[in-house]
Amino acid sequence: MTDPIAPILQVNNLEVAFRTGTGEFDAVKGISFDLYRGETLAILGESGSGKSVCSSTIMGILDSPPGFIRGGEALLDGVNLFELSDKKRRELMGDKIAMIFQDTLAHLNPVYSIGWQIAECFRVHRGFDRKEAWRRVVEVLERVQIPDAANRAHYYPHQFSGGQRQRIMIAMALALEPEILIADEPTTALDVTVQAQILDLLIELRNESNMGLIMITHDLGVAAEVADRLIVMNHGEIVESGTVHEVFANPAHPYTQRLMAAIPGLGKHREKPSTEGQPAPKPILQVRDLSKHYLEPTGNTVKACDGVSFDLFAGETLGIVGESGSGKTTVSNMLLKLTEPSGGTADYNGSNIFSLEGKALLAWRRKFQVVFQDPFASLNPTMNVFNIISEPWLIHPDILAKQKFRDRVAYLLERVGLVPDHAARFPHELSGGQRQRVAIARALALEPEVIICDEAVSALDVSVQAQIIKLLAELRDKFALSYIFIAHDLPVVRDIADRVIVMKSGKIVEQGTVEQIFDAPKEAYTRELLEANPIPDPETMKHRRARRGMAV
Amino acid sequence: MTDAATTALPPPQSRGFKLLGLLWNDRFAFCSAVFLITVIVFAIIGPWLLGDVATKLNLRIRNFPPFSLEHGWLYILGADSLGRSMLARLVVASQNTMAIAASAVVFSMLVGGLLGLISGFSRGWLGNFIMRIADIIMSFPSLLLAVVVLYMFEPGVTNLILVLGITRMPIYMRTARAEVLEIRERLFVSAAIAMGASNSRIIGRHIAPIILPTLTTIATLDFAFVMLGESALSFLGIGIQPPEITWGLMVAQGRNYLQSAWWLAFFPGLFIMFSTLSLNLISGWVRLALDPVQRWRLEISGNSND
Repeated sequence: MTDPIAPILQVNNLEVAFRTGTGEFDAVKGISFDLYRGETLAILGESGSGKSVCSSTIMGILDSPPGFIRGGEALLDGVNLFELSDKKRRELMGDKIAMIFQDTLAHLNPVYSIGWQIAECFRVHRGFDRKEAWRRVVEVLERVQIPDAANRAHYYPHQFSGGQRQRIMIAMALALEPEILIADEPTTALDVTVQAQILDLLIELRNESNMGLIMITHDLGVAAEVADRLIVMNHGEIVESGTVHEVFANPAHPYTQRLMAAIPGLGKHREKPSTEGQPAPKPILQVRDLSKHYLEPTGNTVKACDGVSFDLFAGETLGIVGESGSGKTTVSNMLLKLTEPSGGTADYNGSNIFSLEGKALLAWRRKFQVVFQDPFASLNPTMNVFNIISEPWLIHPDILAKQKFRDRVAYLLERVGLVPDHAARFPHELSGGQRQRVAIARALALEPEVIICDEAVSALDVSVQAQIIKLLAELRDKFALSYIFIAHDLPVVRDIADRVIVMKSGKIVEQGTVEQIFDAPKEAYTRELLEANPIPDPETMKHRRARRGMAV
Repeated sequence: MTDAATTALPPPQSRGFKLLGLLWNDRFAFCSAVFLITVIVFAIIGPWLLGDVATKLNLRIRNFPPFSLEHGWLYILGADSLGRSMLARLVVASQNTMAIAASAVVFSMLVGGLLGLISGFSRGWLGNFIMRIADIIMSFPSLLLAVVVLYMFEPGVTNLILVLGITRMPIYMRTARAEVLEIRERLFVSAAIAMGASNSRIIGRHIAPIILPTLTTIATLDFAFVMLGESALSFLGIGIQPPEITWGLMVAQGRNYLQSAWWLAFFPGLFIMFSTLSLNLISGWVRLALDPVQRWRLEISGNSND
């Protein structure tokens, strides 16, 4: 607190490397930045850019070995963190610098109540007795707006929702009133409306206590919403830095420009091929009154999906958007016949798919394929790419003769933007985007009419996301596919869909063309969703925040 | 990630040759493999080679101590209480020991694993029924069961294998079932169902390869248990009947002489220990070598050795 204008944290020429079997891998290659009181610095980068390594190093939680600090310094109020003894360092952590993470369930201990866990900070760092510690716990929980804090402090982590758990993490981080808070992708796992609330809370708390906030994110929208200054990282280097307005208005580095160009939801809506002069198209799939009810042990009935009806036409992309728990994945699982519906019908070529059996079911499965969200989990780790893509032909032997498998796999790999050599690889040898391409190739192998994309691009980096969306659009036109595109991310849906269904709590709230939903939403919930979605434009976000009654 | 993937591309080699290379890289696993192959070779040709020597009595050298060449190299490990060559007896006993233990372990792993797979995969009464069988087997003292069964039926090699196999089955059933319950919820299984894959394809192609390494690890650990179980039964007189011998039986017989002639129980015990240890090391290696995600660990240790 000597000089109010001096930075509280100075990182100079930080270099971090990892020892691997084949040599040393440089994760962070000499980066420098300053952090001042009361400001938010966003570190923006895609996976593998070194942004999280950088923050872990500052916090002293780098996995070491294999990681090690090769050079540079991090000055906290002029003291180099890397030269402190472990004991001194531990005293500073939590007290001066605190951190919150993306995965709240993994970072809260499931066997202690949240109050106990927060009280631990006070006991360890401040030496308060039980009563005083508990009083502080309730106070800090109230500060992050947990309702009924005095009682809820006795609850365990699994009894809170994802958004509330993130609030608890924040409470824990703020318990000792740190000067610096590092937030590593704090809202990535949350729904957009909850994300907006958490970001509001972070900004509010930052203003109250005048701390420095480092926000690590891959989401340009989040960066635009909260940041004052911005650092863009790529392959362990800072490629661009400046105030958030400068960077967004005039990105100088080609990488930043590419990143900005990849942002979904900013271009024109998809041009639909003209249907004039043709007879009105007949829907290929008619879903009527689809519902799925679960009976809870307590006797309550949970309606995961309730009276959902829609049509799917040939060659169109139907977007289904909704937050977690809205029932959108339940719909997809029922259409894929992974779960039995409690009621309703889905007519395909005049027959109800829910009553199909035997040969007819197998024939229908060929027409309906799926690409799941997590390309790490949707490919069998013990099979190589060739076996993964050719498996459908073993199940449906009438499609292709065995000696043609190799050529056909090579053809499909080229169609999805890979090379035939990839056939010999195993899933773990591929990047996330490449894996998703393999999953798409597998879905195409059966020459389906409909592909359900269940959050198919949600786990991917922005630039990869843009490539996959482009690929999906190309394949749709080339192979006359229809997509049911399920996503929580509105801009992505805006880019690819023709018509959109908005779901909430198992019901359809609104459905219409993409123009109707995005440009003139009728329902309040749709507007709320659109409003909460961060837009990568600092000016817009400033106005929105003002409207929500927040001081900026 | 992309860069790492390109460098990790293996040079074109035949599969068998590559596996041998990986085995050479892991020195412990290599030694274990050599030891086990030796034991197996002796188990096959031992009785033919040394069968007569092993039964030849020589009461003048009863409990002859080991590490002496006074009576020829056959007595380097000493002689037993009837003056028979320890070395010859160990070699001859390896046949019964390996045959019984391996058969019992393979039997319990295959049957138990298969039942576990089925019970994990089928919802409803069948799965529960299978698990209740496992509970019954587990709650009944296994040695008592063996005693009852072997008392009622003829105590022969086949019955011994069956009894040992059945009493060790529940551990495979439970492990397999627990893993299946987790794996079948994974997305690649959902994707396979959406392709129209049959249940047998899902179990055989997607689930079994993933649980197999766990089951083989348990099986190698079980190997020692089965050897000792067999020796306990033989000791009670309802397992292997003398003059047939196994290592377990030799340990049991040598027990009375622990103070006067320790080598009677020590050497067969040592062989049991080395077999189990080798199997453990080999199973660890097999688990890594068969798992495409883990295989690099073996390849890396190769690079550092070069």
